[in-house]
Amino acid sequence: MKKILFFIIAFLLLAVAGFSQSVIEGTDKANNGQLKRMVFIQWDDWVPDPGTDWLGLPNNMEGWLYWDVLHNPYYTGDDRRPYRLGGTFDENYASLLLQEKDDKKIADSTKAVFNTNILTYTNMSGGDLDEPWALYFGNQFNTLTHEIGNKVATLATQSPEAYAGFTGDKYYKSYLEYLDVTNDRLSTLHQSLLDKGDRIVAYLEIMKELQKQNKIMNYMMGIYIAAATRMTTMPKVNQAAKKQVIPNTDPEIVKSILSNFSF
Amino acid sequence: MKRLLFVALLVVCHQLLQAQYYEILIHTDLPITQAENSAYKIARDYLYNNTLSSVKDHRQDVSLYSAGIEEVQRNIFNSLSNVSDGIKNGKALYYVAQRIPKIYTNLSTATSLAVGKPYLITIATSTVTIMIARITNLENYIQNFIAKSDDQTLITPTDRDKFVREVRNEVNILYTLSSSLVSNFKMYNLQDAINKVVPYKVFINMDKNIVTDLKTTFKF
Repeated sequence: MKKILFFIIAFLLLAVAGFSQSVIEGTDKANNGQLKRMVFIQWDDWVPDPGTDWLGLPNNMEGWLYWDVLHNPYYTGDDRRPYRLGGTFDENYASLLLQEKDDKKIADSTKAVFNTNILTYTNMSGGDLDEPWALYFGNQFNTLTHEIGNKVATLATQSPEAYAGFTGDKYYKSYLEYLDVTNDRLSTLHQSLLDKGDRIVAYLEIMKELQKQNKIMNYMMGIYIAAATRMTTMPKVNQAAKKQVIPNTDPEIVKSILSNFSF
Repeated sequence: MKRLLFVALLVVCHQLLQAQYYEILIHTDLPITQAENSAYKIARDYLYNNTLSSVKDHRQDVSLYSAGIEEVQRNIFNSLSNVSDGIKNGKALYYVAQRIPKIYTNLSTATSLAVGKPYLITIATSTVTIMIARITNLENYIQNFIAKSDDQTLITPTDRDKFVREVRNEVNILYTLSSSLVSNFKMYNLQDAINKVVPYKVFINMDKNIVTDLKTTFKF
């Protein structure tokens, strides 16, 4: 029994020497009021009460001393909640919204200018993007630049005499040089970056020029063909041996002089 | 006695141990307010961040579009200020470059043909002077204007092509003129030589006299 009593006493003594804790629930109105002031909820939740009664005596001496005396500018100053309606955040945000609106306008304008530029660039681009060439001029120039060459090739088989005469003609040679230069010009214009209207006008001028040159060459070719045909169809004239007539009489002498000399 | 000592020891131990007692006060109103504040701040900051992102996007767009516009304008400017390889290395200028030395050769030949002939040397001197001046001008025109890339001079490729074409035509004309000059001088020299060998004018006059005489003397 004594032993049991001893252990109980010892246990109680040790228990007193150990940890002990307890949890108490409560509210902190002063801090809560400050938390409300720090963001957006409420500005004028002053705890402890800094107010005074009708005699001017503080309702709460601690509150009056803390707020009205020690932190008077804060207490009597403007509402400083950053996120309040119309507060610093709203001011900044409104400014940002205006900025965003301006930036959007600038972006839209730049986009419009960019689109115009891209359209202009596409319009001006040559090569595969050269629509007039793809739709019309390519075929036209292909026909025109090969027209005489094809005819000359046919001429070689049909009339070798005309072919030899035509290809030896100096005008045909200068035409070949012209064709060489024109093909080169067409290639440059087709590939260059230039205004679509300018390009079309240049194509039209070259086409007109080329048609004219081809017409001349066709005419010349016709002359050579006709000459060759005439030569082949012309009956061979037996040339009479030219009789050398020696005028003996005066009339004969005069006739001879009149027919042989030009004055 | 032992027991008393043991109890005393326990008491001493008790004194040595630091007893700690905590009272935890939980303010139940603060977490609610804090949560409310945080939620509101996060929501508003998210809104602000979204708008900032939008501004950033717009500015990136502006930067992108501006780069595109700059690129297009640069290309257009280059096409106006630079000479394309198509024109610089084109056939037209190639033929012009081939023809100009031939013109000089023709002029040299014409001058040599005119040596010793005062009536030809006058023509040769004036023609050669004019032609050389013209060719020199055309060469300068090609080098310093048509085939020169210059940021201060903006020319469309079609205009440049027209200029080249005009120069080529003019060089061709000069070449034909110089060839004609040479052939005329040669013909003139040949005719001069023939005239010296065969004084046909004398015969023509003689024939004329004979015929006139015959016409007046004889009746047919």
